[in-house]
Amino acid sequence: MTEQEYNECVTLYADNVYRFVLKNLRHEEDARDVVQTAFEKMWVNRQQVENSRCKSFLFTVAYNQMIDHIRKNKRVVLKDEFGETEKTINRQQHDVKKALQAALNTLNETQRSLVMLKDYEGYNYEEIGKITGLNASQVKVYLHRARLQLREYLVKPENVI
Amino acid sequence: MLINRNNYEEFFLLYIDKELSPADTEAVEAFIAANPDLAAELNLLQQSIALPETKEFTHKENLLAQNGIIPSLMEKLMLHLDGEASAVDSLLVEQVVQKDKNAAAEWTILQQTKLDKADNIVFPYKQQLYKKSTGRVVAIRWWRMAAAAIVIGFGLFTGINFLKNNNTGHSVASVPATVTPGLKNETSIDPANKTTLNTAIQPANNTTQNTPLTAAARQPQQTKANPLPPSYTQPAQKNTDVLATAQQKQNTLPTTNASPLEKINNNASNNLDMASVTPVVTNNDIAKIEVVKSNTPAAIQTNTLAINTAFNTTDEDEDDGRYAVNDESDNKRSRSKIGGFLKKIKRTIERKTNTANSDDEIKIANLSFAVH
Repeated sequence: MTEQEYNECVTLYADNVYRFVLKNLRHEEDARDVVQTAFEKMWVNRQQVENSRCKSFLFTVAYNQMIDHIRKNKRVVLKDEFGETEKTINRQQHDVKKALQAALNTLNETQRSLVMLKDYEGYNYEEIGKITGLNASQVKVYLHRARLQLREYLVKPENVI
Repeated sequence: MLINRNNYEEFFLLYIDKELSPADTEAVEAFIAANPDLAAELNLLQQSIALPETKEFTHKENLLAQNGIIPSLMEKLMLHLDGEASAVDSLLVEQVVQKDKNAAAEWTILQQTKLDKADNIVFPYKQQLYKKSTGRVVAIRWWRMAAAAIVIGFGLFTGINFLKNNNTGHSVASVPATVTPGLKNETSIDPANKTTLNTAIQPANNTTQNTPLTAAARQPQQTKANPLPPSYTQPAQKNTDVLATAQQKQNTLPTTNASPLEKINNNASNNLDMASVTPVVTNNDIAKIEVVKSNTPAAIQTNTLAINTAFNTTDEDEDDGRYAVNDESDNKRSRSKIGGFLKKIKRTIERKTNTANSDDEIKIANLSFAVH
């Protein structure tokens, strides 16, 4: 990967990686750190990274960094509490987008990552499996459970769309 | 067959598996009662039997049909939503959704669980991620620097010499052409004075011989003044021949170059005449005469600036016919870029300051310096 290709990757994918991380961590500074680390690793390993695979490389590094960050800072508890609060706030809202965002916050980080990689980035099960370290069957099962969970959230009377 | 101490193991295994008939079961129980030492062995065999465990399947709801949709259809709906279903399954799902209201409602809800791709979040620190290399740095070694210095130095030296030669070339070229008519006039009046001047002028003529332009420019004048054959236009001999011709008023060529001059120089009266001539020179001729006086080979080069300055001071005296050639050289110089530029500056300064140079001073940077 050349310098120009690297800079093109920044232009094309920095926003996507940032969105992916920010929606999981819900903390701008931490998301920024993760994104910068991901691109820094890609720059260091640019000789080994093909330009056609730079996006999946970025998401793989960002996902691992994000999981490490969550485990290190134990943000899971904080996140769950925050999700409950947000759910309460959003009870009054009937906006589909906000309700879906609230539903997304009820998922665990793995399920949320799978849903975002699928919906935002359009990866298939195989590619998601490579990014997250799961096999395609696991991705399928986890993703379907996440969908059912989102569905259950959206059809509840207090979250009626 | 009756049970006894030799075959009781077979009866015990069948007993714990409840495979004995009721009669044999009673016979086994009677045998245990008669032989209590074998009761412990029967208990051990009975403990080896696995008892049934109660395990409850906790995800029964996933297997149940919900809202009239069986789980297999639900899975196909979700695969279709993810774009992972095969073409056949996708077609099947679309047909079911069109026909079945429950499936259509479920499909609508599932579609709402899909995140919107247009939900853009811009990373605001993108500029920090861009990399820009500083480019290739080439170390300049000492010999490269030395070579560069030599080239620059040679270029400067050549350029300065070229400019210098351009300026001096025009000026020097005009010297003989300017002086020659005067000399001829004077030779016609006083041969002694003429010869003295000629000896001073001769080096100047020799200097001009080195420049082809000067020789070429001078040739027609010589032809007019002294109708010599073209074969006598050799530079070294030509000037002395002209001088000798002027002195002797003959068109015949001298046999040697030095003999007439030596005669003239040896004449003591010439020096006296020279002294008597000098005061007669007018103010306009001062610069001219001084140029003539200083026209020794060494002085020519060192006094080039002085000659130019002298010519510049005589620019105003356009009435004097003797400087016609001088004006022509000025015209040539003014035609050159630098000359024209300098002249323009000079005129502008004179116009702005309303000052004009007098004959006996040169103004440089609006300061007056006495020439005397």
